[in-house]
Amino acid sequence: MNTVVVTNVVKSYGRHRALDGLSFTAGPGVTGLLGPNGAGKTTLIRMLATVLAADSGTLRLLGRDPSAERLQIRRRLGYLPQEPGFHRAFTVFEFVDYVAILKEIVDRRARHDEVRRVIAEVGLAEVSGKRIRALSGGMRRRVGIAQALLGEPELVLLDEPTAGLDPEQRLRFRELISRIGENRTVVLSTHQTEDVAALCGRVVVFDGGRCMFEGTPEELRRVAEGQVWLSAERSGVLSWRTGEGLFRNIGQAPDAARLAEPTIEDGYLLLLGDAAVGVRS
Amino acid sequence: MTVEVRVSSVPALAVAKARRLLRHPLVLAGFALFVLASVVELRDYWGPRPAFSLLTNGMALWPGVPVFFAAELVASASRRAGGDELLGALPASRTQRTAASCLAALGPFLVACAVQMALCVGYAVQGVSLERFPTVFELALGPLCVLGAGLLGVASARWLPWAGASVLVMVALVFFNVVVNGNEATGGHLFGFYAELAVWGPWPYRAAMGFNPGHTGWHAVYLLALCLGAGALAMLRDSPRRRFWLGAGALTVIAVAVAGLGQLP
Repeated sequence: MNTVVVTNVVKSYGRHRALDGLSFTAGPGVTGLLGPNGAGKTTLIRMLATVLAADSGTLRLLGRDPSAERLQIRRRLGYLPQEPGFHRAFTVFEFVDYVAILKEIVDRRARHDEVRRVIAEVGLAEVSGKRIRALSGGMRRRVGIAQALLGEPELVLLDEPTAGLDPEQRLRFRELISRIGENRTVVLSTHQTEDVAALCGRVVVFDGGRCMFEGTPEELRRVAEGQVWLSAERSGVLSWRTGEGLFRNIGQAPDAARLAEPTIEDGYLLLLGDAAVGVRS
Repeated sequence: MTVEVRVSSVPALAVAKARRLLRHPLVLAGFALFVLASVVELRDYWGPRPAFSLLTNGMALWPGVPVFFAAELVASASRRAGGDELLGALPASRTQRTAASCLAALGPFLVACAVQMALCVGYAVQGVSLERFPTVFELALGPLCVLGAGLLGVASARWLPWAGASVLVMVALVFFNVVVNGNEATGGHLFGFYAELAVWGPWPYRAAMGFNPGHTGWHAVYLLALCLGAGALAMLRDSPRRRFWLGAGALTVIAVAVAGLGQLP
């Protein structure tokens, strides 16, 4: 059963259409929302988190209608926004405990047990007494994940969870998110194709508020099959010099080029076309 | 079909917020100053007038003023930290958070009651000389001012979400108090929050000079109605039951008017 069903959703801010008839579904496992900045990822995640309502179209979350059953959905939801807004004077334990109360875990002993469990799950047990302002960016992100896991939610929404993390932190993060996705639905927004390749069973590519692709990362990779070339000359806009000195070209084959094995990033760039490098018609 | 029974998170949230409020440096400093003043008074005895004031309305200044600012800061902490987005997706609503903040104002109030009682005991043990011992209503004035300060701080955080707004509110309160305090002969000073009940007279305040006119019992009711009004004002901001809170606010306005007139001589 699909945990998330989005059908023809439209959302506008003034004249700007952030989502323009978007449709997609997500079930158990990790689903990646992939798109460039301004594609509407955060708008969509906020809708899934029941923070924002759609102008038109329908959403079904956990089998329920968010416009009528928002509270019931929120009780089964974990959400990490792009900017969680930590109370920096709080310790890790205090912050997660505060969120636990707001998640209606009111019995003190049960709540503290749950807070300790999620803090341990994200690997922060040793710093649970430390103030949040004293933590690194990666640790703060893990605090954000910890609060999202309170109460064992069936749907976890993560908005750009790996933004600003160094490679080592991202690696730890991927390990954590993949573990979380083993037994629940995780929807994460990102503009990093590496995250999608490493984590997601399904990927939705969208740009300009519209869905451009929905499938597995392997299917996304295959979008670029037969269209990635290595050559001595640059060809077109989607072309860059690799470390080996050759140009990697996506799209039309340049002269004297040899076919290369595509990656997920190639498929993504091919779907976005000029928009991928910031050139829009 | 199973029926999901959920317990409201408001009491647990109120306890957490009360703890934060009581541990706030401003509140700690406010109570510390009051206790320090009490200790000095018990040791040095400044005379019957200052001793009477300390026991009745002294708390309006310390810790009343710091509690107002601390309550405003605690109630607006999530907004200032940029956490509204995260909290907005949680089951507990903003209205419940406001209700919890209002209930948390009972924390400093109860501590103020305890400190007030301790001071009474101190006066009795030390044999502090007063022209007369304060009535229960007079003893309640200080803690009521602390309660009102906490509730007004929450209302200020909800209605005026701008940096420095709480300072302007405090300046307005002090200005109002200074204006009405000039009317001691008519009892008009009782409309203020820091209202002198005893006549201080000339320095060094040793002589008994009697009391300002007015009904202190009604003054306590007047302060209590103002407290409830501040709470209703805070709840009105986000509650979906706006009519209920408008009605409650209207009732407190009537109570303030009745008690305000009743306190006059």
